[in-house]
Amino acid sequence: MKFSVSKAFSKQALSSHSWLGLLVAVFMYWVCLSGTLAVLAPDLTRWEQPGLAPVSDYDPAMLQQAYEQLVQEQREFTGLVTMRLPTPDMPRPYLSANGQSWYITENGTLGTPKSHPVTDFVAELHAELHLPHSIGELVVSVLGAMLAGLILSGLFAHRRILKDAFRLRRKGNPVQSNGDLHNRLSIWGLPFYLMIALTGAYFGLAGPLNSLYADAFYEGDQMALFADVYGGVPEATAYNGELDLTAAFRQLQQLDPKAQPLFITFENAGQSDQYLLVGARHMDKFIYSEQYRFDAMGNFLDKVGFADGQAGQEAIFSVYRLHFGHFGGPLVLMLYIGLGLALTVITVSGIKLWLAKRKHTDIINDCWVAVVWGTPVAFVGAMLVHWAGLVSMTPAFWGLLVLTFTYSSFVQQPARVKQQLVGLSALAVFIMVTVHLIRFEGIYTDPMAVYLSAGWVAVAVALACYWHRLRKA
Amino acid sequence: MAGYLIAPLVACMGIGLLLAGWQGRLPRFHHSYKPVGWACIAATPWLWHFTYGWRFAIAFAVLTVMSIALLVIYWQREVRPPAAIKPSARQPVKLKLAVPGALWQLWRAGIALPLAGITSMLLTVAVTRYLPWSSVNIIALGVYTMPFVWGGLAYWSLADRRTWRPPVALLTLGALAYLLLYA
Repeated sequence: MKFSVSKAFSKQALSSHSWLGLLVAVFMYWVCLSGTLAVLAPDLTRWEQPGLAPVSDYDPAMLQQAYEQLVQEQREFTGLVTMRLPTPDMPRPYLSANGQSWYITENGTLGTPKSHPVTDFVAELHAELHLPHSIGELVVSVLGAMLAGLILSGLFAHRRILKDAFRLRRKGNPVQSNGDLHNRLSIWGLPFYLMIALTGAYFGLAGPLNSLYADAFYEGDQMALFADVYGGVPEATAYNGELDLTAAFRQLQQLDPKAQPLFITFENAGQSDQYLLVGARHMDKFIYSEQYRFDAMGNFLDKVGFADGQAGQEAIFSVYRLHFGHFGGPLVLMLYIGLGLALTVITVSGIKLWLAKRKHTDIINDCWVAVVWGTPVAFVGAMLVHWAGLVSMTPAFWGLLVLTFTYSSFVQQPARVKQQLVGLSALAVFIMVTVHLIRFEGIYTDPMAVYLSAGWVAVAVALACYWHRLRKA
Repeated sequence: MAGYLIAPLVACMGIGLLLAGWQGRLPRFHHSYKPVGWACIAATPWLWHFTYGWRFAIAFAVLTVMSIALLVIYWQREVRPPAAIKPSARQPVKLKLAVPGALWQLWRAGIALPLAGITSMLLTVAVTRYLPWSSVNIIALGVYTMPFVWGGLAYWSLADRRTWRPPVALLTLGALAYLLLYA
């Protein structure tokens, strides 16, 4: 079977691939690396507060008690009040309102405030590159579209796609070995990267697209579009002051015995038109949740229909779980981490190829080394600085990154700087795990904290081995 | 059982057969091992679906095949002796040469990418609205296809040797789509 494109076409595609790659490489690297870590976001939050015991079972009456305490204490709410229910992947119930969250104790009271600056840092870097929300989200979504363009151009640029399907030459000529690594990881992971590109683009591009569709189908009324896609406001009986979560849970159990309750949103909390929205996971679908609506007294009103409504609704509401691999348990998470790392390696090896083909080094090499190997150092460094109470993570991260840029440009030896930064990354991760252990006095009530700390140690060992290899070379 | 035991095994077999075909092994069956390899890979979603249903079956099949292929590639990698590469010479950035070239490409990208973005949005909405589906299904299709159209147009606008053509074509396409939507 011969599958090939003409040499001239492939050359043009390669040129476009290079320019597109160069244009987005730095941002793409940060988004891919942080995305790899963001897959573990729920677990990272548990690692950041390891002293809280996992909860597998709950009594709706206790949850209601916690909500009533919140209403008494806060009185007024800006925005939604949401309650996350314990599930096997996040066995901690918590209540969020007015920009704060509290874990719910077994006695139905508001307990330890929820605090996870590291997870927030990772999520904000991945979703908006620490830029202002609307701009950042748009930039990251555009990266999704550009990733689709890179996949397409890469495919056309690769003339020996089947001939080289299994070829991986390591060491030897660095251009060859980098090219093989770049191409093999790209080709075999293509469906995954395409899915990541398309679902990733959704978050920031859905807004402008929705406004065009609103013009096309709803005479410009975006609320009508949202009502069709995400569900409108139900007609609920006025709240009589007798909130009943137990009744709502009982009815949900009768309606859909297999649905796993995930969260409750208290719409118009504390008001006379208050009603409940219970999100429940359907284990046979990718949707984040089906939404069952109840009046505040716990009487079932309707469901939005993400699970058994139109295919389009299901497709739109499946974006999150598909993008972050939150289906199929730990093995799928591990595969997502592996493939996320592969996409990061593709970004790095692509630029390395371009740099190697230039046949000389200059400040671009220095900067690229600082981006690639300065990022993990700055990330762990920022974490330590934050834990020391000196400054919050985001300014610390960017400050440290600027320092690595300055250092790398001053030294002007990218290979040496790379080796130093790899060594420093390994050391920083070891220190970070030790500091975490000391900070929480070794009390890891939540086993997830142990698993993640072990994972960090494995990362440090891998980095130390790589550093050793670089030194020998 | 069929899902989590047989499906990965069949995927392994498929990748193994493709590898054998690629390496030129199994000369007696050289006409059949590649099609059989692809057939095995194609069968994995069907095997997964018995345990997890079609939605998850496709996802699991894709993840299994990719992971096995990447592991096989790493396992049979060819380690070559390190080549004696002359260290690249350090050069100061030749601003006079580098800046105009980079600025030209940035200008092209600056024109082409936002233009490709706007055009792809207008085009996606203008074309998909005529599908005989419900508005929700059309919106979902648009949400998933628009980034791909944008990526494709961005790729083409940077690949085309005639630098005037992409902006002109994108502007024309965008204007047509706008007219289809609002006229």
